[in-house]
Amino acid sequence: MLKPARMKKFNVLLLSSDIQSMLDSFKDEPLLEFRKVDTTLKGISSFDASEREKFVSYHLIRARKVVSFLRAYSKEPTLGEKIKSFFFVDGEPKFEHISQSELKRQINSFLEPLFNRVEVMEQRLKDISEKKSALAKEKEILNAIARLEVEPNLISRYGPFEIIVGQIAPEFEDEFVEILNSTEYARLLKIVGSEEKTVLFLIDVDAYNLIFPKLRKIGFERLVFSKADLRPSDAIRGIEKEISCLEKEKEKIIKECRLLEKKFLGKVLVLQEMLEIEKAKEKALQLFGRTENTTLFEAFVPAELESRFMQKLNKATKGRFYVEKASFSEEEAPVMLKHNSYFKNYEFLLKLYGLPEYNSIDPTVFIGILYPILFGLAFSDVGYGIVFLAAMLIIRFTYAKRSFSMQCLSNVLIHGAVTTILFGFIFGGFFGDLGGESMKKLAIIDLFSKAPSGQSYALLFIGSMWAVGLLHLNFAILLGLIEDIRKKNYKMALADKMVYFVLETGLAFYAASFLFPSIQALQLGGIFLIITALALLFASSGPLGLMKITGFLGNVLSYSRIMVLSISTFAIAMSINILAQLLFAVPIFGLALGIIFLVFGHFANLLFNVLSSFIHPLRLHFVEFFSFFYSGNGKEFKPFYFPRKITEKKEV
Amino acid sequence: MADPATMNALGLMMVGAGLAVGIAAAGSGLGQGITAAAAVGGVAEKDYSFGKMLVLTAISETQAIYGFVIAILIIFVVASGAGAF
Repeated sequence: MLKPARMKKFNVLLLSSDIQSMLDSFKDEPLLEFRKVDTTLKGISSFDASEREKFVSYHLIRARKVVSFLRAYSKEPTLGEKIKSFFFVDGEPKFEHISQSELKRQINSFLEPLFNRVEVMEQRLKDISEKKSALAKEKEILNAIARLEVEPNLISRYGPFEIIVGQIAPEFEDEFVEILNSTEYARLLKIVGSEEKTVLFLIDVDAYNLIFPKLRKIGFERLVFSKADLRPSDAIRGIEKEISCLEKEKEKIIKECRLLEKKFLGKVLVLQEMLEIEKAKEKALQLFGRTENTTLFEAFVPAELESRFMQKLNKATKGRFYVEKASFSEEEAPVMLKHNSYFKNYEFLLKLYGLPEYNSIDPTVFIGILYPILFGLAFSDVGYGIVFLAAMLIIRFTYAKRSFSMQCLSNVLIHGAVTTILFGFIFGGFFGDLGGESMKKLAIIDLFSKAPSGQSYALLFIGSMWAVGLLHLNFAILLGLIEDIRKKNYKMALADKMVYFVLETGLAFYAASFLFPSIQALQLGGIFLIITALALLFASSGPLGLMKITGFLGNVLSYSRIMVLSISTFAIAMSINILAQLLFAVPIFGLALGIIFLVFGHFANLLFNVLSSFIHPLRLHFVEFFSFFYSGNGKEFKPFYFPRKITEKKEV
Repeated sequence: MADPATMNALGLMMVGAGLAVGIAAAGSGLGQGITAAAAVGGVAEKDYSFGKMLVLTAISETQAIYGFVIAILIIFVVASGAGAF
């Protein structure tokens, strides 16, 4: 639990004829991670991309294309269906696994014809879309000409002159007229429109070519149209009819697409999944080495799964294999975390930073213990805690069922919500001060009052957080010390870890000397230890080494953020309550406005504080706690494993 | 009711507390804006670094928190000592 799972590395030699059955046997269980065999050794060669791999890749691309096309035009779910699918996760329908020969047969019998049909449909839909946008553009031009109220056949060339129609943005109208007037061979005939100005002018063709760059600069667009023989209104009607025909054709194709989806999508998904598995097998092969008749592979297997690995290998090869355990370095070993169901939820938080190295300490357990406490302390409000817990429980058992990582996140937040309620009771927070006097009576600590010792509870809270920080950081230093000693890095152990203990002990002795002035040794011992620590810091890192003390102090002070977050949750909630009370005093709508403000205000405060309470305890772990012992440079164990989503294979 | 001199002193302490948290928060906000912009770029390039980036953006909040701590100390230690609380 405090270290990643132990791994074993195996070199396995087997007959090349058994390779497919071996890969088939391992792909359904996360048992082993293949590593590249050294093929530079004499007599061993690597697997090149085979015809089979090309075949698999080729058809996989086709299957994916068919799936994405059929899904792109599938029926849009209604709002009710969308809400239902958010809360109730339907498992994907399962289809039976198919054999390799059946896979080939189905590829030829229906994937190929279906792909060809899909390509034709896709092309036609593309053509329709292009044609529709061209017609829409033409309609826009005709509308602009209709606004000019001129016969379209007049817009043409007359010897060296031409009548041109175009569009210009209203803010460039003056500039346009100016450019046109700059040549004596042009005459503005008409200018209409408000949002977009449509202009009609007569111009000498050479003069037009001369001023065109200037016109282009101010965004002038010439309108060119094909139906000059028709009146604009007739042409527009024709275009609308054409667009309607195209839409009908598109609908027909989409209808056909939905029929195909209903009939074939499941089957294609099966083929896609099977082809993906085959492709992964082919890729794994490229890590292997081979001789004429045998194949060699190297794999890491979690030590606890060794017997299962042997059993599967034995069954797949009918006992025809040779296996030997290989030695490996710490750097090459993959990392697999191993925890009980509670701490497993916190693994994803650690992965956000990086996995531990193979032989180093796995801090998931420490995160799992302190993180929910800090989360609850930072939030500490019964009202928010209950709402948040209810929301997280609903999400946990509905939406989060989709994936394991979402389940872990919601579990972590549920733990946080529980501690929020707990600390809310301790500090008497219920949506800030909405709980009134009765909540205050229930509270153990009122942060805005004084403790029996005469000190403010707020100050005691800050002090407690510094104490928590000091303990937490000292624990991190201890872990770092253990790591340094394990790595035989004694200099670091002494100058980077032990030095803090020496300094803290010296300070404690010195402080104790004020309590027990009769014991002189305390003061002397304290001074001696402080000087020793400073000398060690100076010797290891020069004058800058002394900065480590302020850095450490900063780290301890950083834990006061938890208290700050707790007070800010309360203060913002209190402000919302005060403002809502002011709104209640407004006549007629006051009550409604106040309630709306109260609900939205508290909802926003809940969201902000969930985010803060999630991030800040995490930061305390990542930045302060980890800085003394954790690198997060481990490589994740990536097993040769393909969880089936669509197909299921019945175990024989 | 305390005498005007004490009230003035308390008022100044409250202004000091407000400035401590306000200026620190403004600085943090500026810093966080810069970090967050860089973090968004980083995540766009390497999406697996989201966790680290999220925490990096929270680092610049530290100064606001220190400001808040100072404000709390002013209110509960200094002002409390002067008999305000």
